[in-house]
Amino acid sequence: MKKCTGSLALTALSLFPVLAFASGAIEGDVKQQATNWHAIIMFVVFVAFTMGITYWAARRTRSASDFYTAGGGISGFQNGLAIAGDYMSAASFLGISAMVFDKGYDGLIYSIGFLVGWPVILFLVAERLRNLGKYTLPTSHLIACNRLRYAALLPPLP
Amino acid sequence: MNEDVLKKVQSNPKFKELVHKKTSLGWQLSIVMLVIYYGFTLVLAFSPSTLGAPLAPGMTMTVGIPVGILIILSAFVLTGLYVRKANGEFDQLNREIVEEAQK
Repeated sequence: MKKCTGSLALTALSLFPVLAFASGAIEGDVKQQATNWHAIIMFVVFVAFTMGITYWAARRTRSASDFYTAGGGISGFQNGLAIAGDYMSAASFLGISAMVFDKGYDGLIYSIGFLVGWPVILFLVAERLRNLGKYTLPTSHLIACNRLRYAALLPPLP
Repeated sequence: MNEDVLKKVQSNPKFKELVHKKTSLGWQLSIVMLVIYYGFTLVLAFSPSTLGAPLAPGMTMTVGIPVGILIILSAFVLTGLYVRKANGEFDQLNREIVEEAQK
């Protein structure tokens, strides 16, 4: 507990220089916009909903297998939805639209790079990882054969 | 799993065939995917005007956009090929190996 308060104080202290910089940001003739209650309410509802799902799921989690793979009870379609959710994530929506804004259509090449990594994971890593009975690459790292270790390096490259 | 069953499975020629087929298919498809992707990237890097040319005179969209979409679709197609092989041929071999090991 003592350690915790110590790190809290440190965090608070480390914020002071940032606050000093912040003071200069709002100067001159700045007009504040009306509070966007729609956005705030939607944000709060979304966060509360997500936390609710997390709480509900956490109560049902009993083992490592439950935690990483939902006890092996995920169908192919559900898993596909989850992967599609990964792909259409904040990185795709915010990152790529920002890249397109900044560099023109050249930015779209990044959305291809995301997708190309997945088949390679499927072809080289997925099944071996499953056969090892481990859930993440770092946990399998110690016992995996050398070949798998090199194969695991490939997908992140694109 | 006890040692006997393990030895029986490992010495089964079907098991060796399964491992060999799976590994080679995995590498073949990976190489196809990587060649497509890196080919695209290299063309983009060394000859930007090829993919930067407009689709038709006066059109804003460039050749690169449909090519990029085709690359995304090729990832789907390759995954589909793998899944078909895995669910058909490989699962069949797998079942046979399990049955023979249980004897």
